[in-house]
Amino acid sequence: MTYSEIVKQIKKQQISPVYLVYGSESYFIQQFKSVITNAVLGENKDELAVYDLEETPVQEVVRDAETFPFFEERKLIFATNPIFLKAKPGSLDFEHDLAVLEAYLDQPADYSIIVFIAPYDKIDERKKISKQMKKKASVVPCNTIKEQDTGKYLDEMAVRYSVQLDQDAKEIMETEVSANLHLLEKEVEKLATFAGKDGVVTKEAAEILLSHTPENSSLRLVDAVIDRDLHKAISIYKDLEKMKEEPIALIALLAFQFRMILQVKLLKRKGISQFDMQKQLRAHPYVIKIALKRERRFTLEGLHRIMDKLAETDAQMKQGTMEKSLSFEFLLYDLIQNQ
Amino acid sequence: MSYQALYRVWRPKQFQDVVGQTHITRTLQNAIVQEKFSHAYVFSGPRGTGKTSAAKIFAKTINCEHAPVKEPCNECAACLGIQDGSISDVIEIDAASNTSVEDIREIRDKVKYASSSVPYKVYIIDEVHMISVNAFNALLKTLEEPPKHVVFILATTEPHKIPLTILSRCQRFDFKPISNQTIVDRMNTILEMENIEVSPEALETVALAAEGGMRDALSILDQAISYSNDTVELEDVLAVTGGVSQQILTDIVKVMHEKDVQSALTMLDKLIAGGKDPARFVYDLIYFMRDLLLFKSAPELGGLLERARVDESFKAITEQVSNEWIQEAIMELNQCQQEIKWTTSPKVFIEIAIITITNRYQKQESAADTQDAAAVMKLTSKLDQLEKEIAGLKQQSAGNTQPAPRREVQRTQARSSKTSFKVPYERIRNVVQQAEKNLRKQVQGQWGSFLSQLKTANAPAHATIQDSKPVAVSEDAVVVAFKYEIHCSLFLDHRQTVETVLGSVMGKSLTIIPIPEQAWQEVRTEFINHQEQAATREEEQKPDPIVEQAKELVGEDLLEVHD
Repeated sequence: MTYSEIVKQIKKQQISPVYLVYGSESYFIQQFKSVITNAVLGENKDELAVYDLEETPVQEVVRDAETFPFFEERKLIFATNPIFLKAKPGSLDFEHDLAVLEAYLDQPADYSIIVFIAPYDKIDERKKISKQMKKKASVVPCNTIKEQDTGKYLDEMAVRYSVQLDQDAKEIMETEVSANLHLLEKEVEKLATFAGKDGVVTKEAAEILLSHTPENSSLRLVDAVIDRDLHKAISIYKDLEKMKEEPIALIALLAFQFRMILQVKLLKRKGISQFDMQKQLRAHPYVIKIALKRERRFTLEGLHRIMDKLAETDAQMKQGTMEKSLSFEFLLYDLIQNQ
Repeated sequence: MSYQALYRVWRPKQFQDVVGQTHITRTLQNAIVQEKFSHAYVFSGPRGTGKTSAAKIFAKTINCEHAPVKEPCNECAACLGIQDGSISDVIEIDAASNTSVEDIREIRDKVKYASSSVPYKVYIIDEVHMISVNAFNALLKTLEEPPKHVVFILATTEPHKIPLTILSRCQRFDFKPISNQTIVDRMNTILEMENIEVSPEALETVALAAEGGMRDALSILDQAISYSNDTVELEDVLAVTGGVSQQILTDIVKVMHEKDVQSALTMLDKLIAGGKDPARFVYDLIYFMRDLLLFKSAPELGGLLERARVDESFKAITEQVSNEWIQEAIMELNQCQQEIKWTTSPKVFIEIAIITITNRYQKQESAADTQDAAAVMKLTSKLDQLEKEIAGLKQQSAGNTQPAPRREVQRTQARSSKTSFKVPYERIRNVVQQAEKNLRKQVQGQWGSFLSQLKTANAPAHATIQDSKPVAVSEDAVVVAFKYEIHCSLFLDHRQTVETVLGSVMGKSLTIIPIPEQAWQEVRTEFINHQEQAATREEEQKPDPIVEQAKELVGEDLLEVHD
């Protein structure tokens, strides 16, 4: 079952007695926690217990689960870090009695709900307890989302915050915020408050409000250079400068991009497929894809010249023969005007 | 009452006073009115853009007695208390001096307690990027699930130093540098209230110098006001910032471009006599030129200029000068700026720079003389031809030498060139006879360091010997095999230097005997053959040691040797 299906079931009050939440996307884990807390306990949080299995043995958790709830009909238990599911559990100063847990999995108490939260990428599937868990508990996968799925979640968040995102605004957000769902949600929340309830987030609003991470800004800088937009390039550089970004680092970044384009261009001439390029260059497929798109706009000589220019400016800065920021601006000017 | 600096008097007290950040103030106000504000914020942006002010106003607004409101009333007890810092629920922490985990733990422990006099506890942590990694981790837990009555506002100039785990839990606002126009407008309102007259040019220059920071702008303005008499003029501001007025910069660029050396130099002289810092002048001039260049290539860049105000004379000059001219001028001035650092008489260098810039194009024009160019073309083509011929000759000779018998080659070469090298076979054989393997190992081990030392001592000598290797070493001599014969003879010119360096590296003086590699191979095989023969002979002659011993023990008479 996928994450969203399970969430839907929980909202319909179809709740399993044991859940295993695993994956490294903390956004989903948090969301799941709040969904299940609301479904099981509602407003009253008296019967919520939280254990850390790196500090508490699992048998104690099970004992708690087998105890009748005091104030409510049901109780909810979060048990984080079940390291006994990991391939290489670190050493602890106590032992998890897994037999107790197995017995409980066979006959769970009908008044308790245990949620095991494993914020790990992988659990060891060969272990007996893992197999048992997979069989008896509802497994909630919380894996990090793929870059291309960002749009989907963006739409979903927009609905949740009752705000409309312009197509342009959406595009900007997708490229700027990348696949970090926490950040994405915060940005949507921010835009939503800016636009007001049922408001529309325009491109302008998104541009002015979105936070720029240095990495993203640097990438935009590269884009601007490639698009030959001097105005944009310089203003992005000014922003980066205000954020105390080191020009030498920016040169390295530009160099990386142009080098990738050059490499892809050369490989393409040899008639090598995109997949093989990826293997040869050991780069992310997306990077290759973008480089392939850009490669057409440069001649081989042009790329050589750009690389030379970058190296020259780098040396200039390191030798201190020219002020760094001035030198960088000249580089931008040169790259853009003399292509 | 003591005098309070302008920027302190006019620190914003309402959202509306935080200028240039309307997108942020509007979002914050919406959040407050809808009572949907987040429990943690990050305010990032360059200095003087209103981060701390916005944080304080935010604290006041959510705690104002009339809340939810769009602006704090600044009249109720809560607002006034927060304003003068007497309410202990709004806590401003300077993270630059409270960087340790303990400081953050203290916050964490106290967060639990309910606020005492206003509804919300607000923690304003200034310069938050300064706290340690551990402290961030300690803060993380609190940020993740803070009590309902707490709001964190983290202000920083360097958001990239904050871990992503913190950032992703906060709502983040990037404060933008304030545009020059906005700064000017704000200063105008302040000046109106303060009843001070300032000329518009002066204000614009202040805004340029402030580089997007309101506080800087007000500080400069403050100084200019104290410096001036009645109204603040452009000169007052320039005196405070140490800048040069745009008019002068424009003029000087213009006369340089018009190749009027005399007026350019007089202007410089006047400036320096007027007490301007020469280095600062060059700096200003460079940035002025940069602005020119940028404006020429992208006129919409208006807001990004660093020195120049776009006015009529500025536009006029951009039309006159060419991009190349500006670029070269900047390079020249940059060079000049470097040189100024090391000299006590900067004026000379500036003068030279100005003269070079002014005269440059004349020189180039003469260089590009057509007759010269033709002559150069002719010469280069001739050179090419010669080169080809030489290459051809080389190939021929190379083809000849290899198959020919060795001795003959030597003879022909001896005839063809004076520098030809004669192999001292006798001496080499001598050395080879006395050669020892471990001695050679020693020399080979030190060879690298010897080469590098030689390189620093005498580069040409190093060049002759670098492709060679020591092949046989005796107590006092080294045989060095060179790839080519020519190197042997070249080496002889540097022999003394090389030997002294080698001597110092090895700790004893050694004579170097050069030999071409080919000849060495011959000597070697000859020697090995010789040795093998000798060895077999020796073996034949040498009596068995056991037999010898036996002889000593029992005497020859009693022995009978069976093979």
